[in-house]
Amino acid sequence: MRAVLLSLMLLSSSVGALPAAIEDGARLLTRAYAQERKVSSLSAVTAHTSGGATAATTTLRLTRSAGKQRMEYTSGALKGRVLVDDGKSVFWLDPARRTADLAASRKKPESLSLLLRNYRPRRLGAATVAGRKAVILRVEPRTPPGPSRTLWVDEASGLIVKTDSFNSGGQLLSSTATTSLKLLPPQPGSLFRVPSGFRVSTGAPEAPPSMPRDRLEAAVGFSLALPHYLPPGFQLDGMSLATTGSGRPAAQLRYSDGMNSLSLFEHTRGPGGGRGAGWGRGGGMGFGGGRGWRGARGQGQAEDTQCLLLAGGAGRSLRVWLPGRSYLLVGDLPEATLRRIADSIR
Amino acid sequence: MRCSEVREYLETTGACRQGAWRRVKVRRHLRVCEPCAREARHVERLEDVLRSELTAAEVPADLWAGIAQGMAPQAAAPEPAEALRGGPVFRSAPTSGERRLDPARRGPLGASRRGLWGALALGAASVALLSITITDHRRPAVPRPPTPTVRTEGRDLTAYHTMSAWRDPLADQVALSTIAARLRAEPGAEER
Repeated sequence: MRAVLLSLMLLSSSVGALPAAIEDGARLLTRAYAQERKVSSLSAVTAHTSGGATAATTTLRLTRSAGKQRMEYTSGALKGRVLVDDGKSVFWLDPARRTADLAASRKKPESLSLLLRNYRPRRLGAATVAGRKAVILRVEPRTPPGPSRTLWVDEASGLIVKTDSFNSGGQLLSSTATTSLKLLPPQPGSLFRVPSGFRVSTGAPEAPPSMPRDRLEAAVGFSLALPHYLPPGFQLDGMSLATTGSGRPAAQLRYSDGMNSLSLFEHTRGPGGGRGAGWGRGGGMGFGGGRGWRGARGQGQAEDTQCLLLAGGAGRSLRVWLPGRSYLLVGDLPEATLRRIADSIR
Repeated sequence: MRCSEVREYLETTGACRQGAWRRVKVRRHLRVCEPCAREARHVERLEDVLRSELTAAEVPADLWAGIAQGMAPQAAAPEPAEALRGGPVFRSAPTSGERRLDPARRGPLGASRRGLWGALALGAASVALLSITITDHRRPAVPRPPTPTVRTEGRDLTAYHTMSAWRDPLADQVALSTIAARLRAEPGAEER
């Protein structure tokens, strides 16, 4: 009888604790997100990224102030490189050559509301990071599968001092940890801008600004086809103009659920484009590519499709070739979902 | 050459495709037969995918141990590094296997016929697999057109996808910048 009562007490306490942990997690996450934009700090950071040639271990000095940041790489393959983010644009600086390359120019600050709709932050416990007390938060999808994060939030400052990022399969993609943290007064804006005298190249940012659909269609020279199916929780984040490796304009339609994202690239296939012919080497065991795609109704049948895993488990890419048009879907989603999205493009 | 013969030829793995004259006949057929040419392109893409997957994949630490366990008692597994160097596919079996292959106890060839044929079959299978995964892609049987451009395009566009997460809430910008910089420095890092 006593054992039964004890079990009931434990059960009721655990049932009561779960929502509290989640509510606490959401509150802590919201605070951490706000603090990142308020607090000025100087930290030493070690980052590990997984995955083929993108696998790297680097250390850097990270200065943050009022939503701006400056990363100075102090070891690894990027030693000597500097990245500045003034809150609007992100530039890679090469102090030796005195050049600045635009890397991103997305201005829209994202809010947490979409993420909190689709992901559940849960307080896991406490730990020590960089000699400071931190709270561990686990952020998981409400509807798996989906990527997840484990965050360590500094108790005193509310800053995120460690982040482990996992893909949908639970594989660790990157781990970024603060090894020392010093809080600072607000820093001068010049620290986060391109220094004068640097030759600035703005031609090929990997994250160009969003633009309206009509302007994007005019830039790429064709009417965009949109997916009519999206995974639950995803919504359009923006459209922008990208450039293929061969210099062809491509439309990027980006969808997000707050943490996971999906890109649909559309571009034309000119004469001489495509994968070309060629055969007769190597062995085939029959996994990977597919055929028989029937999507893009009204635009003709797909000539072929190809699904590849991205190095390091960062997701998948699904390429669909149509006569005169090519689509590329990229995201951390199951192949079946990518194919379903592709089938709905029209 | 009939379509069925061409399809049969295409269905064989690269390591098994033999005969220059047969290749010429197949190639001639592909020039005039669009359905077979499409099939050939599809096979070639599958092979590309296979190669890219195998190149990108990291060999699990316990892969060869698992194979060795599966093959025991016929033969031992090679060390991964040795296999990748093109060294012997099989090494002497572990102690228990060596006893089984003791010439004094076995037949004239030094092994039981069943064990020998089993080892040979497994050896042949492993050699075929290794030739598919490692050797054959270095030695194209037929000259192929220049590297297609679409793969390069896909790679670059994937970098856009990576970096466009920069302003996402909770984006790990340190990791993103590291990955983006590596992608810039080493084209081809993303899809291999």
